[in-house]
Amino acid sequence: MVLLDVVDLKMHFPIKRGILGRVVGYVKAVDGVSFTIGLNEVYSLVGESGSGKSTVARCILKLYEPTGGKIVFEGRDVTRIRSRELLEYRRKVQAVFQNPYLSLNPRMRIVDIVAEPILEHMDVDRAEAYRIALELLERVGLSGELARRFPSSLSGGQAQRVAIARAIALRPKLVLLDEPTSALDVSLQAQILNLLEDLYNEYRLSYLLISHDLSVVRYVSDRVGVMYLGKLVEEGYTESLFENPLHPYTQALISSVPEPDPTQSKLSRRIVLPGEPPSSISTPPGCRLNPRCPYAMDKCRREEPPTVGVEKGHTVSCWLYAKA
Amino acid sequence: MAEETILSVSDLHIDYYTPEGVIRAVRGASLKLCKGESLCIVGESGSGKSTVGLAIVRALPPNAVVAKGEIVYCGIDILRLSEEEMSKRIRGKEISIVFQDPVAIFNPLFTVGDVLSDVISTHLGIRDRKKVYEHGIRMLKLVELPDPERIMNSYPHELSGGMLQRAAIAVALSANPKLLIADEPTTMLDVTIQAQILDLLKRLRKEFSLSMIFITHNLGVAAEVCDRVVVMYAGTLFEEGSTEDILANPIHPYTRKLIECIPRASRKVLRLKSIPGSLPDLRTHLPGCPFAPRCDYAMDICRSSPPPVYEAGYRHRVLCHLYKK
Repeated sequence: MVLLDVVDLKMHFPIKRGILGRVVGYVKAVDGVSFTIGLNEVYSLVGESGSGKSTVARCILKLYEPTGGKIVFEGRDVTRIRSRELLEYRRKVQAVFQNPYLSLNPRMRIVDIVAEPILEHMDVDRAEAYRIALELLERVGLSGELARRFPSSLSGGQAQRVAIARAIALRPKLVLLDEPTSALDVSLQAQILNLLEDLYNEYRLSYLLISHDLSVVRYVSDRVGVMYLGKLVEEGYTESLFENPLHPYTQALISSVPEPDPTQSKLSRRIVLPGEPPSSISTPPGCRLNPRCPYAMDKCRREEPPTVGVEKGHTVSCWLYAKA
Repeated sequence: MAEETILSVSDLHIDYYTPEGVIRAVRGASLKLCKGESLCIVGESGSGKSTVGLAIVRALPPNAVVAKGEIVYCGIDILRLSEEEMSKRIRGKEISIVFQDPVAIFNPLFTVGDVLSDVISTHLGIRDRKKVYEHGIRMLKLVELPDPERIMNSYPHELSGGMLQRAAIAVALSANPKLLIADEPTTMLDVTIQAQILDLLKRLRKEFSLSMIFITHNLGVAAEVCDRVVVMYAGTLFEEGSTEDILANPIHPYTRKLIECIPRASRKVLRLKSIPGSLPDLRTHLPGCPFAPRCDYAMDICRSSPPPVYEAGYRHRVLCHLYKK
């Protein structure tokens, strides 16, 4: 069953110049992205800085008003909902961000932070809300003694646990995880990833994970979408995508991850893409990867590549796979 | 074997004086680097790995004090040199350093060319401006920067992170140093750019027959670029050995756990192992092994006395009570 359906999402930010704010161009951060997330599924968007993956997340969280396209949640178009409907939507869609110190109010105690959404959204009295909050903190592995403290006195891992407790407090359907472990050390990262996995099973959550770390993505996701300069270039089931990456960008991305296992690293050949991604203000015509792609043909410089289905659930946008 | 030692650090202790108390960041670190070798210091935040790197170029912040130990570079006791001798003879000329954030090493008011020319004329004693400029261009070409003439006249904000890191490497190598310290040089970069920089460093190491100390939290990066690895935790060196030994045959319980924690892009793992708990408070005196509270094998002795050195093989050392005869 489909929980979230993102259809041809576009987010163009105008670039304004001069005192009159004349629009001189657009940053096409997201330029026609479509994907779906099923019930109790983990979908990941991967890509490098500037690929637009976080902008997609912000559109879904309704922090931005998209320029074009639709967001359908539980069968209802939520792209332009307001007031009560929006409140209802926010209850069902929660988020955990990269830096917990920035997403937790520094002047509130831990327990108040977790109790606040419960008091706001659920029909319970104060005592009950605080009981639930303490239970949630316990569930994410924080002792009751920490509950009276302020976020600044917590370690990065502990603070991220608080952010997770707050995100699941309202029993949401979908949780957006925007680089949830990027600021943490590997030993803490493993703790948080395992906690997220347990909560996913326990509460039958769906996750949209935004990450640049392919190792983390492979570990947690059911399906993966690869973004480059505002476009989804490849999408597929995790195993299919990692074992058989098709798009030259996906191949380069996967082969660029340094491998700590000495028996593995000798086997894989690294594909290094020359140059750097161009800015999303002046994207190249045709396929956006063409200036860096080792296989670029004439056609790639002229026309945008079609999206081709290769095997079940595995699609790629590249001229190499287009049938003539 | 007659391998020539270029750098040896012995029993180094470094403390930071902060309003919250004295942080004992490095607690008796010893390591040896042979000529032409590349050594990786791996550790999580707070392990003291960067502090060791900064101490070697004597660039510690003013609140840091070297309480004990010595650092000997080619027979010179680095810690006894005057600041003037250090900046004239060693820093930039013999030992260079590249940092995580390349923006920080460039003054925003000067062009890349200004910085590069300054280092070249100071350390190589070249006075002729044309020759200095030519040497600068040569360095920028060496780090594979496109259009070096334009980059010479560019300000740091005009370049991307990857290009600026290349420029920083050009500056670091312009006086032909023998030892390069790279402190998380790719951590802020995207993976495809990281791959480019790692390839560049590997190539330059061969061309310049550089010795290198690479500081990172990423064991994958360590495996890519280094011959040897030391694993640090809470200011202590737990294990030292060849990259193959450490990654394929780790002995210290912490090293083993650390490797098991890492999710892999190359294969699917069902459940990640994690290390319960967190780093000990570095302000306190830790009488035993700093890892004891989180270690599965901790014994009474681990909490009371510091771990002894165990030689596990050729140049493979482990600090752990488990292996004492």
